[in-house]
Amino acid sequence: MRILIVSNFLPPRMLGGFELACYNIAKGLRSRGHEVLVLTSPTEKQPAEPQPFVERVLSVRWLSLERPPDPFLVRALRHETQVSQASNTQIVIDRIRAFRPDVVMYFNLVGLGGLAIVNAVDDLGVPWTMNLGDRFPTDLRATIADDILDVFSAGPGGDLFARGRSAAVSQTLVDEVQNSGVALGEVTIIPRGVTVADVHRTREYREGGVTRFVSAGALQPHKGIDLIIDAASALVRDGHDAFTVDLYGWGERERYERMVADRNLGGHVTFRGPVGQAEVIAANAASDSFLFPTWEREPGASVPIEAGVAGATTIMTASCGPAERMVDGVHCIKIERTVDSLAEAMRSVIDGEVDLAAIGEQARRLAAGDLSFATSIDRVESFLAAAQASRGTDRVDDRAVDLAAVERHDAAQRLLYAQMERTARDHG
Amino acid sequence: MADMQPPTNVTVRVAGGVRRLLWRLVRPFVMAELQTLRAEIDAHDESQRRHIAAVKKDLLATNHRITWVEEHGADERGKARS
Repeated sequence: MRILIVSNFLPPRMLGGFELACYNIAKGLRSRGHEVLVLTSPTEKQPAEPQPFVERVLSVRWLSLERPPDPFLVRALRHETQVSQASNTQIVIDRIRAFRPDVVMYFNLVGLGGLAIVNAVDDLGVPWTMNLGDRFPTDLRATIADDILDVFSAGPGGDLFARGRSAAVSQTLVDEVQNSGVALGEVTIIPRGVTVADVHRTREYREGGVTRFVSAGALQPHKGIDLIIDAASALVRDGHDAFTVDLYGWGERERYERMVADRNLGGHVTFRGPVGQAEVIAANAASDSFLFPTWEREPGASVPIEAGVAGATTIMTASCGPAERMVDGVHCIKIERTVDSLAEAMRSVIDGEVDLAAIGEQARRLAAGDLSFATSIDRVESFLAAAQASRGTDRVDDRAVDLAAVERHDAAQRLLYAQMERTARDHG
Repeated sequence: MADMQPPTNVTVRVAGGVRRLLWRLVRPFVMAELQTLRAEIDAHDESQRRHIAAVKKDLLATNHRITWVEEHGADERGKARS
């Protein structure tokens, strides 16, 4: 198959895990003999390896934490981020004409003016799919006025995202997207595969009578860092102090360091800073348990199963996305997302009530089979082949598609300016 | 006859006034109690919802596992293509 992938970011330009997943899947599909072209945005960073199948030609607008002071400017930026950037849309159309893909796969289109791109590609008649690692169709519509969304058939009752097929990392994510008012077409659940296998343990379980917990990810409340610190505090208060917690990642480090100091947990909790995937896996191979009390809407992170491959028993929120593939007491320990529940699970590991080796072995099996990267690529291949088979009327060479895309871009922009005028009038 | 009507109206008015006064006095306490109950019910409902979601996901995980083992066998190590 000839597969065109569109993603706002790609390593070495990264925000979270989806860019890495996009890159790994692109490489995985190439290794199976498919011809892959990835369209993404430029980066000042040097890639770790040559990326001959990547074209960094798309412009990303991004509403970062730094906001312009003018609310009209914010609205205009948001419009380009989510709705339409005429040049990006035209670049995608032109590359489709040159590359002639059998199928298009979108990863994340926020920042690219994604609604216009999806609509234009749909007009071309090329089968298109979404690889959903997060709720980008929801994010593309967020805070945009209905009349603008309607230009792209993405407003209430619109079927833009139902015209393609979706591969989502979990049912949790599908439910969230659909509950936000986005109608999806045929959906296949394809968890991200784990690229690591058979990591050797570098430390005995509870060596020297000390239990070592590890956590990795953004140091933010939604990842459960507050819960971890409070649970550690509760354990010490109850006399369980033969444990350590190593926190890897970036974020609100100063605030959390103050929390740790306030609770006198300096001897138990250590901040290790941001590190790469390999370092986190090495840390897990020398630990007993991986703490993952993340928020319920966590779509499908693969870090809990990666910890399992390294023999660390994951303690995770029972109602999050990755919980759909890991069985409580077999591959992990599931908790209610509370301090008490987390502290109780940590205590059971500290007191030796959990067979860490047995759970590690089961997690390794899971990562070698159902959740292996190879299985994930098998599923993506089948999914794309099914999408390719649904090809409709081909309009790839029809220049009317380009004109229609420009007209939609202009119409949406006129509506945006009219809104701004109304707002200015209303506020005198 | 003349003695009977006016005292009745006065009684009714006084009783009504007392009721309103009492209600005005106890109303904040009743509302606070109701609010506490509402919060407790909401917290309970949310806890139940999370619990049900957790059980559903564990069942989903178990079903995936059974399907996988039926299709590929229990020991899948090394079976996946690289």
